[in-house]
Amino acid sequence: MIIKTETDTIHPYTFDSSNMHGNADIVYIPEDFDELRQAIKSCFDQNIPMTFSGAGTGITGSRVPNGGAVISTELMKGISVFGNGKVTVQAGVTLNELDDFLRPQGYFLAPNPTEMNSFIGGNVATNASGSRTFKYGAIREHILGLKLILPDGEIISLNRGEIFADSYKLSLSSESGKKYELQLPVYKMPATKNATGYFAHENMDAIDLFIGNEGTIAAIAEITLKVLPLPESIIGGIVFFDDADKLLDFVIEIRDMSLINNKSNPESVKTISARLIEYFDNPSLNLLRPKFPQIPEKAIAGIWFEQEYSTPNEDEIMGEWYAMIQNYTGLSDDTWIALSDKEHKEMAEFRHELPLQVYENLTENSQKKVGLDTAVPIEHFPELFRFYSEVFGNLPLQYVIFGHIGNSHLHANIFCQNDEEYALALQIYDRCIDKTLALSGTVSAEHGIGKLKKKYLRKMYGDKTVDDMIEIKKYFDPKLLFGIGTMFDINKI
Amino acid sequence: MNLLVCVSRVPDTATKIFVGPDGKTIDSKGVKYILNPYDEFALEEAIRLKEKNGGEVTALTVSADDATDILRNALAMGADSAIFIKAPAEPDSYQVAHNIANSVKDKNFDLIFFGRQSVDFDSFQIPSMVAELLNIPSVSVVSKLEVNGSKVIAERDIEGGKETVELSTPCAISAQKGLNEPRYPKLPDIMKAKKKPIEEVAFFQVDAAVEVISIALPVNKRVGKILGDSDSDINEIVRSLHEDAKVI
Repeated sequence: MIIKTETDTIHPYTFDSSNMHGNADIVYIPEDFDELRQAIKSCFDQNIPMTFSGAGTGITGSRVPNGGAVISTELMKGISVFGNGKVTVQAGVTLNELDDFLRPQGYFLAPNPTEMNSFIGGNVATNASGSRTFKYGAIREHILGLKLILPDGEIISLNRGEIFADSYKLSLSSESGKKYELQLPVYKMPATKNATGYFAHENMDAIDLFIGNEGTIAAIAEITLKVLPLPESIIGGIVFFDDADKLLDFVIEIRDMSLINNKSNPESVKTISARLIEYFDNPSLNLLRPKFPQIPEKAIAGIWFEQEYSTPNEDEIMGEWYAMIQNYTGLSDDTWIALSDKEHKEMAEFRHELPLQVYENLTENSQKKVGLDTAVPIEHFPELFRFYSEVFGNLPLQYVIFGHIGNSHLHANIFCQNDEEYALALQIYDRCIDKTLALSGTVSAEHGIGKLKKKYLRKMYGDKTVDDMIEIKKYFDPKLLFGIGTMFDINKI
Repeated sequence: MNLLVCVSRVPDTATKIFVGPDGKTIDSKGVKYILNPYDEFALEEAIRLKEKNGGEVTALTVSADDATDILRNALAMGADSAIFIKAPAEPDSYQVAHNIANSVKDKNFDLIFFGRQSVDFDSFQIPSMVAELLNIPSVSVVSKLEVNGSKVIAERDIEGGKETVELSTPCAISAQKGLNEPRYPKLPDIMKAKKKPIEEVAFFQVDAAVEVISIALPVNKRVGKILGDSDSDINEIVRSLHEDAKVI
């Protein structure tokens, strides 16, 4: 185990990719499971608060410590068992490392969270999702097993499909035989992608309670993931639009077709069946234009899609896409297509360049950013999309809107040059949150609550549900040592 | 304008390369092949000239492997037709140049474009050899090109500066990065490319001028040392900077 106690060596662990900064007295970097447990147990015995640290790529501050100890999983890099479409990894393995391991063996992790340097442990802690969540769901649906450590050092191993709640009552036991009996919060989760609070559902699988816990009730040490064989062929495309209304109609049509066709055997699919549908608004294209001068001048927005297919169906599928695209945009002949690995890589770079440019914009101009991560049920998306264009259309601030439009989930980022602009951006943020909640949506679809969105968790679920979640927190962590300040306001506990 | 672009099929630059069992060739197992990146600049320039002045662009490759995949890429970018010369075994630069020259000598191309080099064997020889065999002028590593009728003005990168040269068609041009920004393949063009003709031409037998005796991977020598912040490590850094590197 590596232990850091000097201020300058602790510093890198006191912030994440949000603008938030904290402080810590000590950093533990365990190298294996036993050392991780030992670090937790020793902090527990001395009543030292613990904050778990992944790669620091989160943007809601859940790894930002409030004093006490940071426990970083960066050296827990084991990939232990692979076979039968399953792989078991330790928490510190990055998505890139997992992909490098799986790809030569012909497999991949389906949801594709954007930040490939993030740790699998962090992905589990926040129920991460990504571009391919449109077809494959969030990472939750790909987690088959978890090995967890509770604040007192007890170990709980859970495999999906083994332990279920009886209505809202859940019984668990640790490896040493300690019994846990708890009442789950009774509330209705939104019918969207969601990363807010503790997952709870009638007769739920016990494993789901710990996915998305953001380091507040259990440390995630080992994860068994479901992995899928690589598809035979993939077509990717970036479609440019000259009319925002038509873009929305296009998205709805290809989304609804894909939701049906994605359930069929890919070999039989000879029409549109997208695995991802992503959106770029005009300011996003403008941010990308200096690096990608090939973006057509007349484009005011873009859609990136990908589809897996069986090679003999290539001509028919391409023809279907082309016909569809021609129906909705005057820029159909400018549609970029990727078929080879190299072309797909270039297209992924185009998509990934956007968050990089957003980040660069912030650091170069030392701006502040307000970022929305809301999603709504698909039937309400047109209303949210039009609301955004009303609100942002006349906004005297710099902004970009992009993201997972197939999941009715967009990221609106507002850049602020000064305090006045920041205050205005926060007002806009609150208006968008209110609208999202009025449309039965979620305040955080994938980033999590962390330390930045606690008040919106209460706004979304109400005091009773959040207080019930706090009871769960207290049940597993009676000394209140794990992830203090994350998800719930410390004063409220 | 009648334009020819000679292209090459090379391993994807991200592919990990292994030496084959004979020690003279690369092991192609698991290797992904792509259109040589420098050839994209050559193609883009030819296509832009065609769009401006009219005419036709032909893509040509000489390869021991089936290279129709990269010819389809060239056709999707905007070439009108393609020529595939299949070599019986991995040809050397001289054989490739002879085959290009032989198959195009009667076709009256105004300009013959190449990438400045193929990123697999990096011989840099083919553009000049073809020009010599066809007895036409050639300019290499061109980063800016102007064509007015039969007058061609080419700017090329030289050490620490630029050189501008003038020549007349027919001529050979090898393209440098920065000559243009190659377009991405567009959906209708990819669909059209599937229907464009690829003519297969028999290999013209000529002896190779060079023989590969062996190829080898560079030896990976770890020169860095990882030291911590303990007193003994700090002493070691000071000693090493003083005695080994002699910088303090």
